[in-house]
Amino acid sequence: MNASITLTVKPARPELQVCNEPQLVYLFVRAQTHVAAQRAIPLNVCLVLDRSSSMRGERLFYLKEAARQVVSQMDDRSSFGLVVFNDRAEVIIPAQAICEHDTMRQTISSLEASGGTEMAQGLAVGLQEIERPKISGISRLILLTDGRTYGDEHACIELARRAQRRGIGLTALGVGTDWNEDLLETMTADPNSRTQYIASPREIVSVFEAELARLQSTIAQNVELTVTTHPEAQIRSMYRVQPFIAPLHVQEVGNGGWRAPVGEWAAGDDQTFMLELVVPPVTAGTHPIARIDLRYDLINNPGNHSLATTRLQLPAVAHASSAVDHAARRALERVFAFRLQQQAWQAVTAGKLDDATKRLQTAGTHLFNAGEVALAETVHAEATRLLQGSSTSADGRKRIKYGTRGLIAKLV
Amino acid sequence: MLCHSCRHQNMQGAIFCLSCGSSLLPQDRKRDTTAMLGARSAARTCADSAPDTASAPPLSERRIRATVLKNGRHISLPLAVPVLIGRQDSARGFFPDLDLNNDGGYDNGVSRRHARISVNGNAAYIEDLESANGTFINDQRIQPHTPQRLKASDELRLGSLVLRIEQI
Repeated sequence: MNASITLTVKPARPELQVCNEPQLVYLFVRAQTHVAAQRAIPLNVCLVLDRSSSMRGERLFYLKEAARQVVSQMDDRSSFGLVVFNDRAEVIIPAQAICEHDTMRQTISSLEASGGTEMAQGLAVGLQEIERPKISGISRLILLTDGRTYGDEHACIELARRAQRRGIGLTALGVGTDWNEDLLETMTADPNSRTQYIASPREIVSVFEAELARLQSTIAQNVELTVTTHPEAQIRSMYRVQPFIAPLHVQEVGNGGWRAPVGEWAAGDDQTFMLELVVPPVTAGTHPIARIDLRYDLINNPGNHSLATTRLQLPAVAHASSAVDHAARRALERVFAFRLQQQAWQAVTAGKLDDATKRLQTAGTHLFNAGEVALAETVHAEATRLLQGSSTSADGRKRIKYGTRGLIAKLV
Repeated sequence: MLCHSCRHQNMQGAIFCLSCGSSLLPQDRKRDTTAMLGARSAARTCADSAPDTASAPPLSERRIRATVLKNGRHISLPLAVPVLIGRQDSARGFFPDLDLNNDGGYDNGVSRRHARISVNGNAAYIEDLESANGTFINDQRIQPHTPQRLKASDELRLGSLVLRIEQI
C-alpha cells in the first residue's frame, strides 16, 4: 500500500497583536491522507451485544441484521467472535477465522432477548475472546447496549482500559435513551476508541457497516501529533474538530515540546485539529509560532516510522485586525458549543440551573452561527425546559452531547 | 479583553469568552445572546411592550427602559412608584418589581433586595439596598442607602449583571 499524510496549518487570525501581555492564538492543522490503492485490511473483531429484555423487538431485529452484515463484510483473513450479555455473558460464536459465513449468520439469527444488563461480564468475556486469534492488523471490540448497567461501572472502565493498553480499540454504541453516556464516554476516552449515539434502531445496520468499513480502511497506527513552540508558550487545549469533535490529551515534554496521541487513521479520513495556544509577549516583526509534526506507522510497514511536518510564523503588528477566518470561526463555534454543553450538564448536576440554562443558550447561539440549525433548536428546547423548572429530557441530552461532537448517526 | 456578557477579563487574542462562551468580536456584540429573546420575553410578566408617550410628561409618569446586556432582554417599567430590583424568592417573601432571576441574577451576585430606582423632582435616582455584591454606575460603586442620579446611557451593574439604561 502506498500511503502518506500531509499537513498544513492556518491561524484563525493572520496577525499577532504587538503587546506586553501573553496572547491567545488559535491554529488549525489539517491532515490529508493520500492513498494510491486500498485493499481492506484483515480485522480481529468481537461483537459484545446487549440482549437484555429491553432489546426485544425492533432493536434486536436490526442488531441481528447488523451482525450478519458484519460477517458478510469480512473476508477469510479476518477473525470474528460474538459475545452476548444480559445478567450473564455467553459466547455465541467463539473468535475464529471467518470461514463459514452461512453458519455464522444462522447462529446470529437464533439470538433472543431476555434478562437484565450486566455489561462488565460481557466485556470480560469479549476481551478473552478477542485475544485468542493471532491476527496481525486491527483488533476491535464493538459494544452495543440500550440500558444502564448497575454496580459494575468501575469494572467496565477497568476492562476497557485493559483492552486499550493491549492495543484493542473499543467502539461503544448506545441505542435509545436509557444507556449511560457518561460511562460509555469514560470507557472510550482513548484515541483508539469512540462512542456513538444511535437514536433509532433502524440506524444500527448502517452504523455497524460504516464502522467496519472505517476499520478496514485503516492506513496508519500509533499516530501522534507533536508541537514545538516557543519555550514560554503554552498549549491550553487541543481538539480534533474534523471529522468529529474530541478533546485530545496533550502532554508537555519540555523545552517547548508537546505531544498528543491521536490513534488510528483511516484512508480518506482527513482530520483537522485545533490548537489553543498562549504565546508570550511579542514585539513588531515576524515570529515563529509552531512547528507541527505528525508521526505515524503505516499499517503494512509497522517498523518504519513516517513523518509529516509543517511550520507557521506570523507577523506581529501594532493594530492587528480582529477579523477571523470564516472556516476557523465555524470550527471554533462548534468547539465552544461542545464545551458549553459539557459545562451545562455539570451545572445541572451541581443544581446550578441558571448557569446551565445560560450555557445552553450560548451553545445554541454558536450552533446557529455554525449552521447547525436543527441541533441549535434542540439545545434551545432543553434550555427552555430548564428555564421553566423542568428537568432536561434524556433524548435531548444525548442528541446535544453527541450532536455537538458530530457523532450522531445520520438517518438512512 | 473584557467580556460584556459576564465581565470576565480575557486574554488578548480571545475570540469567544473563555468563561461564558459569548463572542468577543466587536461585530457580534449586539447579536450574540439574542437567540432566546423571543421565547424568554414571551414568558415575562412585567409590562415590556407599552409604548412611550410622544410628549414629555413629568418623569413620574414616564417609564425607564433598559437592556440586560448578557441576553438582550428589554425592560420597561413605570416610574410612578419606586422600582425595587432584585430576585424573586416566593418562599421568603421577596417580590421585586424587576426580577432578575431568569437573567442569571443568582450567579451574577444579584441580591433578593438589591437596589431601588425612584424619582425625585425631575431626576431618577438609584439607591443600593445593602446588596451583598454592590451596585455600580459606570463602574463606580455607589454607597448603600445613598441615592445616585441615573441617566440615559448609564451602565448599571448589579453584582456582575450589567444593564444599559436606554431611556428615562
